Amino acid sequence: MNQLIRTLFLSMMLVLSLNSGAGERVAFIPGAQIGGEKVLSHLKLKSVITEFLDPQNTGLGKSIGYLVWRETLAAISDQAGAGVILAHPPGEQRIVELLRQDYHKAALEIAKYEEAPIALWGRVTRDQGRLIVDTACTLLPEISDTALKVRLSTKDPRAADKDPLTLQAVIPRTRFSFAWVETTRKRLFERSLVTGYAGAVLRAEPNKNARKVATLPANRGLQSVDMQGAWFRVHLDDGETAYVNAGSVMLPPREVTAAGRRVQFYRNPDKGSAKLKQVKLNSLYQVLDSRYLRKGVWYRIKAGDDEGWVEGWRVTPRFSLPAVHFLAGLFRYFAQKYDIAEQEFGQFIERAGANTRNRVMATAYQLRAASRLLKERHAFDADKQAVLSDLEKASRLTPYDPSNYNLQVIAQLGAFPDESKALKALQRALALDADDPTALGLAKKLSKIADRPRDTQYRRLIRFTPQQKLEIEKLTIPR
Amino acid sequence: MKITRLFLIVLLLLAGHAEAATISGQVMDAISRKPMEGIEISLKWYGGDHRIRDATDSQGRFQFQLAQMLPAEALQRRSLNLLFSQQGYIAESILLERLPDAAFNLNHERIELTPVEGSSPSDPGSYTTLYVLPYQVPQGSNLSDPQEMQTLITEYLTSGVDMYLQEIAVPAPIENFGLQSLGMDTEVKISNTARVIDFGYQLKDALAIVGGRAGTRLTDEQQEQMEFSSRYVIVPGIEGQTGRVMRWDDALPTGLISSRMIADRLNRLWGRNTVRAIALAAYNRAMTADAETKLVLLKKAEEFLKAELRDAGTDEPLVAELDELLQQVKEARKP
Repeated sequence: MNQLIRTLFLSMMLVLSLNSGAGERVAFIPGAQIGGEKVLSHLKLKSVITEFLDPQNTGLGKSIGYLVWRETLAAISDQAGAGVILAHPPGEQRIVELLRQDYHKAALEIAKYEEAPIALWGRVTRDQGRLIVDTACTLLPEISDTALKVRLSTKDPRAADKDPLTLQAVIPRTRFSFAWVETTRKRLFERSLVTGYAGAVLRAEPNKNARKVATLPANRGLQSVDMQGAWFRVHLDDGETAYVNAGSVMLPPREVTAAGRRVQFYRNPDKGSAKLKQVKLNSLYQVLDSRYLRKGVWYRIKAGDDEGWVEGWRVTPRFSLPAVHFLAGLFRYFAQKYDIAEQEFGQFIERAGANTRNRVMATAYQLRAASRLLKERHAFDADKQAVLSDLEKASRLTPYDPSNYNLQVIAQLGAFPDESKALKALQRALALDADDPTALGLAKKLSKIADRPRDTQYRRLIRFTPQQKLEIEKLTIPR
Repeated sequence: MKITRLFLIVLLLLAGHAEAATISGQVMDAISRKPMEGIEISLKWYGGDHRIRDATDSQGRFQFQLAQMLPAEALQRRSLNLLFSQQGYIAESILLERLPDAAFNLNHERIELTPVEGSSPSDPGSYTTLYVLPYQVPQGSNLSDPQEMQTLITEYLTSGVDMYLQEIAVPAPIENFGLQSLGMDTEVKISNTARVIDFGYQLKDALAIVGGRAGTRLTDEQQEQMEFSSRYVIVPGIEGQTGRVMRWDDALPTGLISSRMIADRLNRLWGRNTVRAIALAAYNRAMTADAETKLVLLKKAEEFLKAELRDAGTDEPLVAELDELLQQVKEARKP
């Protein structure tokens, strides 16, 4: 798979704005050396989404790749310095014809070349009339030092603290196979779209050489009824249909939730427009239309007899696949937007499904706990019950994994000081794996803390009894 | 080893409120067809195991009540692994699973163990490929087109395993690891362990070979049921080392033939067995390697086992086996 060539379609480049999430496509053909100009090279954080495999020739592998690409972009549309690259075969070729067993390797090679630390890939199959979508995600933490770290420090930037206490653990899993999602064409493709910042051309057929039906300005709502390859089939006002390329539209979530919150409905996507009504939203609501404005996204939704525009940040998006929430959560986590990361991992946990592997679910709980811990300015303010409950769930799912207990050490020392529980968690981690580097690092750190003079910052925060000090020393002896 | 009762369906036996958990059967030599006396049977579950030495009589028969020998905790587990072993034979294990409110059960099971002798590789291969034999669907079964069904089942069950195998290649992917589906005309039958292992040696790069049989029967409620009996054969890579055979059975309504649930479960078991196979191959090679290579191989085996265990739940099949192998590897690493 080190013999891939990618022909860059720079003419198709779509940058949403200078400061927000950006999308780009690359095409690859096996048989030649990797090379060419890297795309989105100015961005700090990128992921590569590879066109989905379609072994049964359902005709949807390409469409779902495009759909996930555009949905992920919508999920991170307000995140500066972030981008998503879609890797696809050129033209109408199907990826399955180019790659068979090397599909995952190809996704990783492309991600490495593009310096993207996240690769997402998948497969669509048909099963007795149902569509089954499998998705997997691989992290490449070696790229731009993007390990999933959880770091708490006493260092206050305003204080001249020369001796800060820093505790760090790593969430080590890097490969995730998500549970399959059973869905339908309608649920995937029947939805609202918005033309991108450069506007969009509607064509009579799903190809770029087909007759031009209309040219739409930017930020214009459209209703999609289906998808064919990279093209959405949309309804026109006169009842006819036309095709618009997925690369030229924004893809808002198909539905939103609001967890019982009261949300103001407006007549237009503008806070200056008439206020219609405050509505308590406690269900799932289909997005009828949306607008991406400078101050944020707006959705038009219908709740019972009430219909109106709501501000995007007041509701929670619900994307087609739980994997999109996981991916968006990773983007937010890496960007230290922990409050939104918590929300995205929460959405993933809620929707992941009973068939989700323990390892994946445990990581989602770890990431949500870490987000909950890190979103507060001071970890002491974190919701203790929520953080520890997530870590407990992760431990129950993967009881052999030392990282669960390392995270408990961080939480029990850095946020909710309980030296005894922290020590027990560390002992557990090292009992599972005496060579675990994070646990060994934490043991050394605890030993240092225990040795500090009583009047230092360390000792004001954390105090070990003489007995605990002895137990810590035992942990630091090499085995 | 051959299973003479082709489709012993443990889950069916367990359905409803089964009476006391009973394990009984007979162990035979697969070549000489003579009963095997003094076989050791190990019962393994997460958190413990119980060994029964000299478990078979002069007729090769064994029978015992699990409740009398296992702690209550073991009987509450969802799965239990039975390992039949004797020096000089390829160990065979059977994965028993039980439904809630049911008991583990295995009655009148006939087990044939294959001698190691006569099945050694002339040229040790590279142990990088998991081969999948086509699932056998006997002619004359209730299925409309056995040939078509055979293709469907094989393709369906292999379709998901590649994703699992991508995940297990942590933390150090083995080079050139691959999954290879063998053609429908392959004559080797998965139930003939000795033949499967010889075939594995001929392939040169076989880490393990997996396959099975499928058929239908009518349940007491006159519902048509699809029954699977799957086997995972770890090819012993080094002369003198034994491989492992694992068998597990499953059943589901024929209407759910392509249910993702069954494919996912099987693929997970295949994946986990593959981790075990990779670790076992590294361990076996380490035992005959020079000191430096030995350490490298043992470290690799340990990393694979740790990585898989890190991701396992307590009640999942094979966890006890992985843990046992990990302890074995750790022991071998000690100076």
